[in-house]
Parts: sequence; C-alpha cells; structure tokens
Amino acid sequence: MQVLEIKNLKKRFGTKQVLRGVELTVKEHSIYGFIGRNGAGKTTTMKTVVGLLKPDQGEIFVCQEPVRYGNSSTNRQVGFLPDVPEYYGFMSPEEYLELCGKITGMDPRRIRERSQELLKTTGLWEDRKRRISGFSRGMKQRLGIAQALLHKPRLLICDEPTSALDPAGRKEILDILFQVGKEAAVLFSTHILADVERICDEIAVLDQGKIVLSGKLEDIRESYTPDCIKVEFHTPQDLQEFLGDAKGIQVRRTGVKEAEVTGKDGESRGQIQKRLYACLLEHPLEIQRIEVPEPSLENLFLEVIR
Amino acid sequence: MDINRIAVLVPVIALEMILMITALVHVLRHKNYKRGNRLLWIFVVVFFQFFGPVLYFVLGRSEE
Amino acid sequence: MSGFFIFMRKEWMEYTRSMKLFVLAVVFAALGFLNPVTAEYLPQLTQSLLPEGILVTLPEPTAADSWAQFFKNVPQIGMIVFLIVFSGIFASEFSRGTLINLFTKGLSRQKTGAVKWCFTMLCWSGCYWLSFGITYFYNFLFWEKSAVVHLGSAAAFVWVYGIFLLTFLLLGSVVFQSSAGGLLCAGAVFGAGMICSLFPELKKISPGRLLDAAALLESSAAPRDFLPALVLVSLLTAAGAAGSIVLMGNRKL
Repeated sequence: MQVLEIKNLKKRFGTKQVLRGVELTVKEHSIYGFIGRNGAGKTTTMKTVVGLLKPDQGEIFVCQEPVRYGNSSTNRQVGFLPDVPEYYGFMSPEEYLELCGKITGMDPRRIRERSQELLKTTGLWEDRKRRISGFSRGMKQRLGIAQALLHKPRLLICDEPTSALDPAGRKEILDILFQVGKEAAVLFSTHILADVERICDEIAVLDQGKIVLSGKLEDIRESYTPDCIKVEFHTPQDLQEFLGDAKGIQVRRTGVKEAEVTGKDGESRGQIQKRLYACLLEHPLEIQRIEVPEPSLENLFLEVIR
Repeated sequence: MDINRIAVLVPVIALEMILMITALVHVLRHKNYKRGNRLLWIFVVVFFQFFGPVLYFVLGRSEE
Repeated sequence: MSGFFIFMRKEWMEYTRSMKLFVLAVVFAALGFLNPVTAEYLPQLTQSLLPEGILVTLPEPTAADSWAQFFKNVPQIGMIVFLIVFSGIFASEFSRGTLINLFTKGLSRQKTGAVKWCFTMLCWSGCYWLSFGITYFYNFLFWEKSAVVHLGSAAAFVWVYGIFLLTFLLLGSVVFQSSAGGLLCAGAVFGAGMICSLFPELKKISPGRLLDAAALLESSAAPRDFLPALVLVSLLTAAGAAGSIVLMGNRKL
C-alpha cells in the first residue's frame, strides 16, 4: 500500500518556482532517501506534506487521505522531524513528549508507555529529567525522532536529520532510522550520499524542482551499471599476452596490468562473462582480480543533476 | 513611634532583598548570558533596585 | 477546548520556570507596600529638603494620598515592567520556531493566539490586584481606614486600561514578530491616547481618560463620565485581540 503519494506538486515563492511538478510515491515499510542539492526544494516538499505550506498546484495523499493546508488530520499518520528542531528549553524530554502526546490527543497512560519506550530507543533515558536547553544537537535530533514517533505514525518524515551532526551522531541517527523502517515508512532528505547507501531501499533525486530519478536503489544501480568487466592480471606480460589473443570480445587496456572487457553491441553482461571465461580458460594466465564495476551513487547523482 | 515607622519598610526591603538575591544566585550559577557578562549583571542586579533583577531576567538570562 | 488548557499549562510552566512571573509578583507586591510609605514620608522628605527657616505647613497624609501614589506608580512603573517582561511572549516562539512542531501535531494556530492573550491578561490581573490588595490592607496600618470615594471604579478603569495596552503589545508582537515591535505598538497606542486627551472634544472618549483616577478620587468627576472612554477602549481591545488571533491563524511560519 502507498503511504504517501505526491502528484504534480508545484510551489512558487515570489518569482522563484521552487517545485515544478514533483511526483513521489512511498510504499509501506520502506526507507526512502530524498536526495538533492541544497535549495532543490526538499524542505518545501516535506513541509507541504505535513500541511505547513500551501501548494500552488497538485495533490498529496497520506494513506489515501488528501492533505489539506492548515488541517492536520492527515498528520495523525505522519511524524515530522524539522531540519533544525527547536523545543522548549525549560522542559525536560519527558515533559515535552507529554505535551506533544496531549496535543495529539493520546491518553495519558499510552503517552507514558510510548515515551518510556522511545526515550530508551533514542538513548535519552538517562537524560529524561534534564532540561532540553542543555542538550547537544545530536540529542535534540534524537528527541526530535522520539516526538515524531510518539503517536506511532505510519510515515516518518525527516528533513536532513544527519546534516549538522558529527560522524558518531550521524551513525546513531541512521541506526535509529533503520530500526524505525521495520515498523513504518521513512522518508528522509539528505545531501549526504553515504547515508542513503547505508539504509535506503528506494531513492528519489530532486533537482530544480523536479524528480529526475527515482526507484529502488538496487534497480537504479543495476540499470546504471555499464556492461563491462574489469580484469587485472598479475603481470603486465600476462596482460600483453591476453590482449594479443582475445577472441569474440573487445578488450581495452586501462592500466599497466588492467583491461576493460566489453561485448559486441547489445550483449548482456552474462554473455560477455561467458566469452571472457572461455578466453581465460584457453590461456593459463595468472589473474589478480575480476570485477563488475558498480556505479557509485555519487557519480550517478552528478550525472542525473547535470 | 519611629521604630514603627522603620518597621513598615521591612516588607519592601525584604522583597527587594529576595529579588536581588534570587537574581544574584542565578547570575553566579550560570556561565552564559543572552547579553552582557557576569560583572555587568552583578553590578546591575546589586545597584539597581527592582529594575536590575527585572532587566536581568528579561534580557540577560540565557536559555542554555 | 482541551488544546487550550494544554497550551496554557505550557505558558504557565515557561513563565514560572524562567522566574518571570516571580519577578513580576515581587515588583507589584513591593509597589503595593511602597504606596502608603511614600504617602506618609513624602511630606517630611520635602520638608527636610527645603532650606532651613522656610516652614511649609503640609496637610497630614491620609489614605487618599496613598491611593494617589498607587494610581501614579502602578500604571507607570508597574505597567512598564509588565510590558517589558511580556514583550517576548510571541517573539520567542517565532524566532526559534518552537510552535511549528506543535502545529503539525494538531494544535490550532488561533488557539495559541487566544491562549497567549488570556494568559497575559490573567497574569496582569493577578499582579495588579495583588498590588491593590497590599496597598488596601497596608493603609489600615497607617490610618486605620483605607477606602476612599470611587476607589473601586478608579481601580477597575486602570485595570481595563492595562488590558487594552497589553492587547496592543500582543498585536504588535504578532504583526512585527518581535518584542520591539510589540513595545513600539503599545507605546504608539499609549501616545495616541495621550494626544487625544489634549483636545477638549476628544477628551471624553480618549482611552487615556481611564488613567485619570485622580479626578474620581477628588470627586471632580463621576464614574459615568468615564463611560464613553470605557466603551471605546473595550471595542478597541476586542478588535485588537480578535486581530491578533486571526493574524496568528494566517501567519506563515
């Protein structure tokens, strides 16, 4: 089932057209990475989903229910973590969660149970009675996740949850998000590609107000993998010998001991592989390494936003 | 008669002292202020009756 | 309705924990004690400041003098302190964006405006009547009598004027999203009232007239003479309060 559906979303601020028809679908129990440069429109999209901004055009559905600006009824299914979360410094995490729970309309017993649970999973249990004003950025971010998950939403939206954190803080947040992904759908925006590679199932790349690439991370990787195989020999002589006697495949030298093997037009990687192995069997050459090069997300990203 | 007249000032003086001491303790127990530094706030709190502590709690008291 | 009280509790927590309410209570209590004291000792002080040899016969101070001090001190010092302390009630939320999260959780925007207005007025009422009560009882200690003519009306008018001015402090805070904007707005409204009082034709309905407690205490005016000003102030207050609540509902965050 689709937890979130965005159709042809357009939004303009003054003369700047920020969103030019964003299309996005998030399925249940998936972790969705929302990638884009700073200023690409990620925050605008997310704020519109939680009803903080009014779209100029387009529709948004959360669990099949349309989102309306200023009306928060769809937010019962959504937890939102803003980019720079700010909470009342004079409260303790426990008190803040209680405030949030009461506003959402949860009953007191359930608020206590849920906040106990969440303070433990986010590692804030020891600090539950301390004032939030003394918290570090990472702690505030974790509290942000706790408050967003308090009412057990089916969709968690996080706006750049890891951007301002140090590596240790980032790892903590990603681990928590990964855990959350088992129970709810997670949509998180970022410009740190390593984070996406670590936990996401699906991704969408937003550039200049449009989704330029989206789908399952594996599928995208697959379709962008070039149809070639890299071979590294033990010595340059081995490579030399191989280059002189390769049949049915095209070999291009790429290094002292390295070559790239490609097939004829339209041949799949499997076929190339077969031919390559056949060739290699004929020659008793010592091979260091055979590799199917994977496109890095970084290259992919740079390619699609060009 | 004169002792009575001094006695009537006791509540005012007591309130002033309470306010000053509360503010002073707060100034001394915190390192960061929204504006100004410790010396300035000690001076303001001690020498400006009533207004000093008010100014401290509105302008100087930090959230952190 | 429940959102109203939940958010009200948050305001209460904020203002008690930041010591702001405590500070205000102490200042207003001290003002209450000071009124009779000043009334009693001011003549003696004046006497001692005069060059020797000149003797001025001053009338014996009475409870009326204490009340004159009250109506001078509370609308001035008390009001200014109160305005300063409450000038940040909206600005602190706007500048840090603390409300955004609560809005996404279903807190109504209008309600936050209404809560902040009600909370401010409750605090103002508490502080004002605390000061009034202390002066009232302390007067007994000095003169064994406290009530004077039209005291109730005079006190009520100043209290209403406080609500009026604070409403515009809040309106300004919402419009300009800053404490300075709020203070400026309250100052402008106060100034406009004072200017109105300068014109004889406008004097009757000028908001500033509500502060003229002296006229009531001296019996040179009757409470019903204040009625036109009271009506105008009530209307402006209602409009200002409604305005800030509506604006709060449409505020872009």
